[in-house]
Amino acid sequence: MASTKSFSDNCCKKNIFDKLYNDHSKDLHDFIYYKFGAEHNPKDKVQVAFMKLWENCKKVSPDKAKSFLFSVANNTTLNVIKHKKVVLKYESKSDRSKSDIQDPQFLMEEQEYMDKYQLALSKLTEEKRVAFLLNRVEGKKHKEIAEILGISRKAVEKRIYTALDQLRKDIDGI
Amino acid sequence: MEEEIIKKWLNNELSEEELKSFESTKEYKSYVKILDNAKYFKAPEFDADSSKESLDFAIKSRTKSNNKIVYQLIASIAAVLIIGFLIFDYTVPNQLENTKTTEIAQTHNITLPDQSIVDLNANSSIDYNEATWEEERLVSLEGEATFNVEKGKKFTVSTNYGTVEVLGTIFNVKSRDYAFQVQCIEGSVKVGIKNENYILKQHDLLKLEKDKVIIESDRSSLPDWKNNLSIVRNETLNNVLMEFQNYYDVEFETSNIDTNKTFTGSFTHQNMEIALNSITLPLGISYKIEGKKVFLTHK
Repeated sequence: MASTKSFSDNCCKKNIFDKLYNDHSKDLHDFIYYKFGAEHNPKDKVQVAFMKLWENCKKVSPDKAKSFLFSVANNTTLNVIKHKKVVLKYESKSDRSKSDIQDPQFLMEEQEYMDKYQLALSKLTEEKRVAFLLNRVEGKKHKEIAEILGISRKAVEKRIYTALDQLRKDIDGI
Repeated sequence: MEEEIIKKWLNNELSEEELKSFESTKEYKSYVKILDNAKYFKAPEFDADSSKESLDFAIKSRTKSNNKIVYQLIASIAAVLIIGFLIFDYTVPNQLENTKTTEIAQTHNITLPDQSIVDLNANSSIDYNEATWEEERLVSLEGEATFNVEKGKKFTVSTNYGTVEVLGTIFNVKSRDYAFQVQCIEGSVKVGIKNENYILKQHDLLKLEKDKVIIESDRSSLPDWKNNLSIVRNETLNNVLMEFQNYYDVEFETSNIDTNKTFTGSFTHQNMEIALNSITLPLGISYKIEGKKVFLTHK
């Protein structure tokens, strides 16, 4: 049964390939971004990973495709960077509140807070930062993150907790 | 703080009592603030549709080179036919001439046949010929684009101002009616303008100002437009407004103001009102938007 399935269902089929793209391209993009930052053009990495999948579509069965994609994207990016510090940009709050005039003191404090936050995030290890942001920003469940990172749910929970703990200590200056 | 309590709290599993006592700790507010502010670090929007489009395009061109025998056979037949046509009619367009164009406020990611990548900025277009690509990597550019070139034979970007030549590197070319700039982000590039050649190294920025070539240092790892910004130094308001119109589909009514005033500053590509404020406030100009028209007047 399994062998017939993998024979008829392979990633070379357009509908299967397209579905894999719809299902995983955004997660792949976000994963690369949170891990390596914008400098390494996550969009390109998504493209490279899917190109590789397409080239190997006969060898990779659809149920293995997801881990194939994530490891290709991960490896191509690792080849490029030599563990530089990853600083993620934040969306400035004043941009969103258009024209209303806010207390400059308040604005400055907010700015300082976000700068501290940014620095603290960059000090986290990649694995903690990725788990924390996928969970808190992208709203991914522990189970989904565990699948993406190839670790257990317990480990995901632990990473999110230690990330939060370190962020607080760092930001509060302890 | 108890690890288990926080884990439970993150999963909304605390009992009412536990929650009450956790809320009364002095750390509680810090935790909440951290979680609340995490959203500002959100990854940039991923446009799956346009990325899929360029992926499909890359796959298509890859398939072509993979099916070499068929392709060569077709190519040789085509060559005979094309030569035949050309003898009788010079104007037969080449079937493999590719043009990619972006509209105002639109950007596009294009993969060339050799896997080099072109990030095309708004209101710009590139042309290249897939048929002759193997012999000559040549792209014509109108507007602005960032190139990430795969190593290989000479790669040439041709513009109205001159040519930019490289072997394999990352660089940005801006060729607008009002400006010509080449920024070398990685590797080195050669720029040819009117019989003169200029070699740019990493972090060099070449500008054409009133027919004079100026080379400055610019250490940014991305061109400004990739950060959704235009940064202008000492430009006339006229040029600034032309740059503006690449990102916002509007027309300016400027008969009441002096557009030769110079402006130094930046504006965002993501919100028109903020962008207009960034330009007009420092110059003491006020604006009024009516449909697609923006009226500029002195305050």
